[in-house]
Amino acid sequence: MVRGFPYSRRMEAVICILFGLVVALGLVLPSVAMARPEFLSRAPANLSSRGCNLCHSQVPSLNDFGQAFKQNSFSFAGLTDQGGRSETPVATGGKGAVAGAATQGDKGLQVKLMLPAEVVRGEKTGLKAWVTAGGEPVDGEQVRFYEETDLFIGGRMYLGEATTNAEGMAEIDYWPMATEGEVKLVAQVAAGADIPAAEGAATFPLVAAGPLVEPVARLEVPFLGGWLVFVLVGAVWAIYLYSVYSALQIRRLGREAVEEKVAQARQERRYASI
Amino acid sequence: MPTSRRGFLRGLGMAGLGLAVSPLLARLGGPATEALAASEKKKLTRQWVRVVDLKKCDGCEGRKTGPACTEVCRSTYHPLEGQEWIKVSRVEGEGGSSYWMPFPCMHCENAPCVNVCPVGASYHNENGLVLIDHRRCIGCRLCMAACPYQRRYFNWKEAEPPKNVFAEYSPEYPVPPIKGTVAKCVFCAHFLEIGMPTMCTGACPRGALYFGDKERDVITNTREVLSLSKTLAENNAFRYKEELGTEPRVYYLPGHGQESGREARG
Amino acid sequence: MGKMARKAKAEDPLLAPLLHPGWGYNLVVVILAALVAWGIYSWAGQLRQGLAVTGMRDQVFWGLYISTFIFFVSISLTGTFLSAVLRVTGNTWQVPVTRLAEVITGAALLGAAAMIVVDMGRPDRLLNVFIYGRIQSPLIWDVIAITSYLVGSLIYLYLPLIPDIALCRDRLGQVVSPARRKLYTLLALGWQDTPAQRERLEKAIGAMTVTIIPVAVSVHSVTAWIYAMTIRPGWNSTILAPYFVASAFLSGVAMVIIFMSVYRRAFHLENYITPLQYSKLGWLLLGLTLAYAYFSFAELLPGAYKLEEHEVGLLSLLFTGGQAMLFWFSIFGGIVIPVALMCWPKTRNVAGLTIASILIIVTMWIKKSYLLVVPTLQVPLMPFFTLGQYSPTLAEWTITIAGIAGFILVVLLFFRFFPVITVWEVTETSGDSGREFQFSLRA
Repeated sequence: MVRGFPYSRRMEAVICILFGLVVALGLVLPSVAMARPEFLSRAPANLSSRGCNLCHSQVPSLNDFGQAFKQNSFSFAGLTDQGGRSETPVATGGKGAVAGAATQGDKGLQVKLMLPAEVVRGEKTGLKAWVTAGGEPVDGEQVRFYEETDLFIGGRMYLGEATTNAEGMAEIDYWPMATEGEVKLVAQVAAGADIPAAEGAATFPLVAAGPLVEPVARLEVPFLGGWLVFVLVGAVWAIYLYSVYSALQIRRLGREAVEEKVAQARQERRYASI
Repeated sequence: MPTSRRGFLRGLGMAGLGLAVSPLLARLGGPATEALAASEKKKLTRQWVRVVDLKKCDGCEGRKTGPACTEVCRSTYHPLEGQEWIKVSRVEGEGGSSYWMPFPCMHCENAPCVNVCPVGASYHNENGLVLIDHRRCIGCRLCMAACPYQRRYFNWKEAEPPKNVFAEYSPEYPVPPIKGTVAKCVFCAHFLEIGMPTMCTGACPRGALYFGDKERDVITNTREVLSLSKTLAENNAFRYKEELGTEPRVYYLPGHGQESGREARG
Repeated sequence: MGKMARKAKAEDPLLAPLLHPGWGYNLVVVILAALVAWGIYSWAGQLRQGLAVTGMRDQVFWGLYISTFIFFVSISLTGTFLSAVLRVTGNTWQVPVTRLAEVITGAALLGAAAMIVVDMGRPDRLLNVFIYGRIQSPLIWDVIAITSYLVGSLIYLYLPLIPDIALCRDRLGQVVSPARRKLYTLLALGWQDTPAQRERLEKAIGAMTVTIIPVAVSVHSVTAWIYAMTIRPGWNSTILAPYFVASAFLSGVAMVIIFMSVYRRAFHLENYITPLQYSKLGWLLLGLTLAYAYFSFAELLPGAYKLEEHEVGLLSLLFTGGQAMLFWFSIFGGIVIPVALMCWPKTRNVAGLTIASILIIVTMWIKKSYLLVVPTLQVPLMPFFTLGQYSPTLAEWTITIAGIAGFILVVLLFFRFFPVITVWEVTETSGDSGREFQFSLRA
C-alpha cells in the first residue's frame, strides 16, 4: 500500500503534463487564426494609435473607416481619420476623366465615353457618354451602355440607358466587375427619325480589388473551439491509461508478494535447521 | 528493470496519445493556414452560379425522351436508372396553377452535405462548386440525409460501362459511376475547365438555363450575355428553400407562364 | 473432477457453467452461429453486388442496418448505468448483475460497429475514416465517442474481472485445457488478493467508474446528433440527444433483465439473482418507462401543434398512415402494457417483469430505431418525390438477424469462459460466503 504510493504520484505527474500539453496546444492553435493586424502595421502613426478599433467596431466587422479603407483597395493614402476619402475624384465633362475613342455617326454624331480617373473593380462609378454633333452637345438623346464580355460566347452585356442633358451628357451608375484588369465599354445612340445610329467604344484600365464574392459568414463562438474536444477526449484517454497502468501494477505487487512469501519460508527453514 | 518498464509505458502512452491526436491537430491548423494563403494570393477565381428563368422553361412538354437538359445529362454522366441529376418537375403554384421547374444540385455555399461528410469526400472546389471525390467516399450516405433538396443519389450497384467517355475519372467528371458511392450534379466542372458551357445549358431549347460567374457578374445561356446582378435585381430572383440558410447558388427568376409552359388551372 | 467434489464451495454454482454449460447451451450456440454464418454469406453477396440487394433506394436510403445500429448503441448504455451510476451513488444490490450488464455493453458496441460497416457502401474504405476524418462531421464525433466508450467499457469490464479470473486460475486450472489455463494465468495478472493489490484495483475501478459515465452519455448524445444535424422532419429537433439517453437507459435495463432471467433459470442462480434485484430493477424500469413516455410526448407535441409542412407529412404517416400499426403498437406495447404489468400486483413478479422487458426491447427497436429512421426518410422534401417506399429484402433481414444473433453469441461465449456473477464482489457484499471466498483464495 505504502509502496504503491510514490508510483501513482509519478503517474499523476505524467498525466498532468500530458493534459497540460493538450490544453496548451488547444489554446495556441485557434489564436493562430486570429489577430493578424497586418494592415495596422502599415498605417500612418496618427492612425495606428487607435489599434484594432481603427477599422473594426468588433472584429471582424468593419466600421466606417474600415469600410472606406477597404473601398480604397486597402490603402491608407488619402484617408482621413474621420473615415472616408479626403477628396472624391469627380469627373465632370472631360476634366480629369479618361476619354475613350469615339466613332462617328453619319451626320457627325460623336459619342465619347468617360470614366473617373481611377476606377476600382466593384466600386460604384459614374459612367458617362458625351454626345456631340459637329462639336455641339446634343440634348435629349437616348444612350444605351454595354460592356463587351466573353463567357464562352462573346457578347455585349447591357448595362443600362440614360438620356443626354443640355450639356450632351448621359450618365448611369456602373459597377465595373471585369476580372481582366480592364473593361471594354460601348455607348450607343439608337437611330432616330432624324439621326442615324452612332456608337463610341473605349477600353479603360481597372484597379484590381481582390475577390468580391465573400465566403458565407460562419457563426463565431467566443472561447470555444475544436480544442475543447481534444482536451475532453484527451482527459478521458489519460484516465484510461492511468487505469490500465494501475492494473498492470497488480502484476508487480503480486510478484513481490510471492517473493516475500518465498523469502519468509526460506527464513523459517533456516531457523528450523538451526 | 522497473524503471525501464515505466519509461517504456510512459513512452507508449505519449506515442499513443500523439498518434491519436496528431491528424486532428493538423486538421485544426488546416483551415487557418488555408485562409491565410487565400488572402495573400487574392486570386480571382470563377464563382459559378446558375440562373433558371422559369418564364422560359416549358418542361420540354411533348418531347418523347423527357426534358432535353435531363436527357443530355444522362447521356453525359450515365447515372443509374431513375437518377436524374437535373430534374424538371411540375410544381403547384397559387390559384390552382402549375408550372415547370428544373432542379439541379444547388451547389450551396453553406452546404449541409459538405459539412457532415466524415472524410471530406464532399468538398467545395475553388470555383464554389460542391463536388464528390468518389475515390474517397465511404458510402455512409449521411450527405444524402443532410441535403434538404434530395439532390444526391447513391450508386447502389455497378453501372454498365458507358460507351462514350470524354476523359479519365475525376471528381469534375465522375464517369463511370463508382459502386457504393454518392453521386450528383457536378455543374459540368470538367467541361467548364476545357472551355465548354454546361451540358444542360447548351441543350436547353428555350435558353432557360443560364449559368455564369458571380465574381465577374455575368451569366449566359450561350445565346446572350447578361449582367448577373442586374438580372437578379430586376426579376425578383429567389432561391429555393433559401430560408434554410444553405446559401444555394441556383437562382430562379419567377413569373412562370408569361412565355411558355403556362397552365393557369389544373 | 474428484478434487472439485472434495472442495465444495459457495462459488461452485457460479463456476459450473464454465465447465459444463449443458446441451441446451450448446444447442443455442450452434443455432446462433448458424444464423451468423448465414448473415455473413448474405453479406458476401451484398459486397459483390452492392447495396442494390437491399430494399434501400435513393429516397429511403437507410433501413434495417442503421435502425439496428441505433438499437445496439441504445442497449450499450446499460453497463455504465447499472454498474457505474449505481456504484457512484453507493448502491450494492446491483453487484450480481453488473458483469452481465458490462458484457452486454461490450457486445452491443461490437454489434453497433458491425452494423455500421454492413451499411457502408464502401466497407473496404473503412480506414478513410481515420486517415481523412474531419472533426466537423457528426459521424466522426460518433467514431471518437464509440471508440472511447468501447475501450473504456472493456477496461471497466476487465478490472473487476481480475479477481474472478484468478479464482478460475486457482480453481479450474487443473481441470481445463492448458491453453485455457494459460489464458487465465495471463489475464489474472498474478492476482494474490494482497491488500496492496486490492487497493490498486479499487483505485483503478474508481477512476474508471467516474470517467465512463460522461463518455456513455456522449455516445448516446452524439448518435442522436448524427440525425439532429440534418434538416429533416423528426430529426431536426433539439430534444433528440436527451431523448436518446433516456431511451437508452430504458432499453439497456430491459435487456439486462431479459439476460438475467435467462441465466437465472438456465444455470440455477436463484441464490444470487434474488427478488431483491428484480424488485430494484423493476422500479428502475418503471421509472424509466415513464420518463421515456414523457420524452416521447414532448418530442411529438410541438411538431403536431405547429403543423410545419414536412412535419405534418411525418406525423400523419405515423398516426394514421403506413406506419400507424407499428407506431401504435410501440405506444401500447412499449409504454401502456409494460407499465400495467409493472403496476398490477399480480404481475409484479419475475415473469411479469421479464415479459414487460421483452415488450420494451421489441418496441424500442421499433420506435426508437426503425420508426426514427424510415418514416423520416419516406417524407418527400421536394415536389418531384412522392412518399418513399421501403421494404427490407431477405438479404437485409438475414444480415440484421445475424447482427443480433452475433450479439447474443458474444455474450454467451464470454460467459462460457468467465463467471456471469461477480464472485468476489458478491461474496464481499453478502457476509459468510465472503469470508470463505477469501479463505479459499489464500489457501
